[in-house]
Parts: sequence; structure tokens; C-alpha cells
Amino acid sequence: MPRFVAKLTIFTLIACSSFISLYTHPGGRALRPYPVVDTQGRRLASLFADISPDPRVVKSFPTFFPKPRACSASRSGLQGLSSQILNAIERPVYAQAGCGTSCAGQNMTGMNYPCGSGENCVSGNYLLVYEDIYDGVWYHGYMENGQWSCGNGCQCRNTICIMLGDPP
Amino acid sequence: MNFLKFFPRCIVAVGIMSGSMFAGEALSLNGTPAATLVDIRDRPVPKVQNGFVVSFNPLIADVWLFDESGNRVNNVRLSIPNASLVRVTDAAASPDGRIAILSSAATAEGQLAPFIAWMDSSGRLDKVVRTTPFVAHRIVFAKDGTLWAVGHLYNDQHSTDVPKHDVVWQFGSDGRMLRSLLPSNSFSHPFPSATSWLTASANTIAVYFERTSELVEIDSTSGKLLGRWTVPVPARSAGEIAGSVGGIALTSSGDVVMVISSEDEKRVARPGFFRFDRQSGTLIPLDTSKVAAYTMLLGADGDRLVLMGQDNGIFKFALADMK
Repeated sequence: MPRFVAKLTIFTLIACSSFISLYTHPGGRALRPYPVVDTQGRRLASLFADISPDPRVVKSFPTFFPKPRACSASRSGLQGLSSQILNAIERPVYAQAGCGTSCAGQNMTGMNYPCGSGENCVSGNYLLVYEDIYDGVWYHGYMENGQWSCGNGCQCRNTICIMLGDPP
Repeated sequence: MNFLKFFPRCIVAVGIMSGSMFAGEALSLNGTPAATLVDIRDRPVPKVQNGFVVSFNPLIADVWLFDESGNRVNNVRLSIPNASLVRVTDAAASPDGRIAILSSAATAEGQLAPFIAWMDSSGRLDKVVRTTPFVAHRIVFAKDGTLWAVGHLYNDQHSTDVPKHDVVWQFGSDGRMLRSLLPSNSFSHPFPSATSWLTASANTIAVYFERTSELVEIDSTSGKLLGRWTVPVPARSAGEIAGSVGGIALTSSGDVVMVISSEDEKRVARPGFFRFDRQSGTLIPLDTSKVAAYTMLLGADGDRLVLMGQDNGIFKFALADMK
């Protein structure tokens, strides 16, 4: 009987630890099953249930909408998304950014700098990734060695400057 | 809430006003600011809601919540199974410390879903509400605990061809949509919510639509439209800085304060603080010479404005009285 209890205890511990690891976030915060519902409270199988893939959504790059387009002539530096930026986004990057007069001089551990409306994010030798809004939806794009003036024409949000390459 | 206690090492600026309320055409935001560094350089400008300071990182999809004592009471990070990308657009805090995170997620196959994640006050993910085909741009909690969102509909083609829809939605604490209002065809622009600002004081919701320069106030408990005004801000068009709004606050006494950029001769934006006078429909400039370093408006804490500024790369917070 004691041996059976011991085996049962071991089995229970293994089962519990498996369950815990199944619902534990890599960062350590415990996850638990949570419902995914629509705005009427109806349960959905998953967040992406019944949603068709959109080929324009680029893997691992924060673009949810069609390719970026310029909204003013001054933004001639705009180009389409490229594998270069995708690679930059997908691997750890070292970023420097700043709003106002300079992009350099502020080391960032993250990648995003909160440029306010009316401020400029000067990319210098960096890759400037921006979000812009036009016709009601957000567009994303990038420009190299240019200047994106937040609040100059279209709204600029979540502007980030990324230096291509590995961290120093 | 007493933001004097916010960020313990930070002595925020408290304005000691002189003169009568709104005497003349200018208000003075007085005080001798003293500030401290809070490193939020990798995060968008935070906002003040229901006694909390809310800060999020759109790329990492985490949200920080600070209480009135300056303690970070929540540090949540959103993780959605099967999503190759989660992007946070906005976040809101309820009076009891719950968090709503406005996000979009995409799979590697290109499936895209806008949603609102509801966290309880302990920071645990309570539920995920997919809002398809409504995509919100801003969210805010009213004092009654309901969540308000301003946004627009979209279609699978992501074209501008969408049916008439209400641009303001209210969600109950269970995540269900309670009501919607403000039809899109009541605006002169098909997507008025695209550049909008949303704030609340008690149970009054205020929405400012940059595209049409309209301010709308709604009673959260009844859904009644309290007023709709045209704010004399030049509607923005491509290539223009003038009229760009950088922040909005609704104080407990009902004052609407906005930061609006103008353009100098070199086409450099100059932010200015204004109070909107509903009766006259005019913007009254506020004299901010004593707090010139504070150009960002995070919101209101009661009758005070919570400001943020940057000095030699150091971010500072300030509390300013209006009397």
C-alpha cells in the first residue's frame, strides 16, 4: 500500500508539473485558459477562427494593411517593404533614436521612441520605421537616412529608428 | 488621486494660481517644476486614466500600470497563442485597476484579428474579445466600469468601401458590446475616428475628431449625447502641421484642455495649450510660460493637468493647477 501511495504521489506530481508548465508563460507569469469571444459574447474556437489569410500581411513585420504609400510629395524616400527590414525586425537590433534635433545620443534598449506630434524623428544612418495613417487605416513603411516629420501631413505614430546590424 | 505621491522621487510641479478663474484670454499654469527621470524612451507617451498612469510598448505588447503611490501595480505582457505578431494600439485602466489592451494580432499565414484583451486587477488575462469587423483606435474606461472605444469598420479587402457604421462603441465589463452611437455618415469624413482622441472624467466621455475638428461628449451611463461642438482648429490636410492635436484632457470640473500645434515660418511645429470654451465655441490659449518644458499632456487628475516634458533627454512629469 505505501508503494502504491508513493507511485500515486509521483504520478500526481508529474501530472501537476506538466499542467503547470503547459500554462506557464516563458516569462514566468502563469497563464490560464481564457475565453475568446466576439462582441456579442459568443465563444470562438480561437482568435483567428474563420479568418481568411491575407497575403498582404507580412510575416513578423508590423504591417497589417496594404503596402505603404506616400501621402505627400516630400516623402519621396518611401519604398516598399524589403527582406532587409524583415531581417532587421526579426533579429535583435541595436537602436538609437530621438525626436527633435538629433537621432543619435540616446541609447535605447527598446526599439520605439515616442515621437510626439510635431516632432521629427531623424534617422541619420538608421532605418526609420514609421506608422502612418491615411484613409482611415494604418500603413507601415520605412525609409533610410531620411527624416520623418511627425505631424507633417499625415499622423505619425510609434516611430522607431533602427540601426541595421548587430548590437555593439 | 494625489499625483504628488506619484513616482516617489519625483516632485511634480504644482501650480499655484493667481488671478481669477479664466480671467482674460489666458490661463497661467504656474509653478516651479522639479522633476525626475522615468525611463520611458522606448514607449509612447503615457496617459492618465482613472487615477493610474498607463504606459505600454506597442512592439513588445506589455503594459505598465502605476498607482497613486508610484508603485507599478501591474506589469503585464500580452501573449496570444499562434500569433506571430501582437501589436498594441492603446491601453486603458479602470478605476478598480483592470486593464484593457487594444491590440491586433497576425499569424504567420496572414490571418489578422483586432481584439481587446481584458486583464483583471491582478494582471491575469481574463478574456479576449475579438472586435471584427470593428477596429478601434482608442479606448478609455468610464467611472462606471464600461469601456468606450472609437474606431471604424473594415472589410477583408481593407478598402475604404465599408458600410455606414457607428464610430463609438461601449462595452460592458463582460466584454459585450452594449451600444454604439455616432454614425459615420454624420461626419464630413468617411473615417473620422482615424485621428481621434478619447478621454473621460467620471462618467463623461469626450471624443475629439481631428479629421472634422469636432468634439463630442457622451454620458456613459445613459449613452446620451451631451453635446457636439466644432472646435476652431484648422482641419488638417496633407503637408500641414497646423491643427495637429497632441493631447486632450477633461478635468473633473468639465474643462476640456487640448495641446494643438501651430506652424512657424520655418514650418516647425509649436505646441500650445488651449481650453475649449463650449459656450463661445472658442479656444482660449493658456499661458504655459512657467512650465515651458512640459509640452505633452497626459490627461487630467481631478482638476489638475498631468504634463510631461523632456529636458536634455530626461523626461519629467508635472502636475499643474488651473484656477
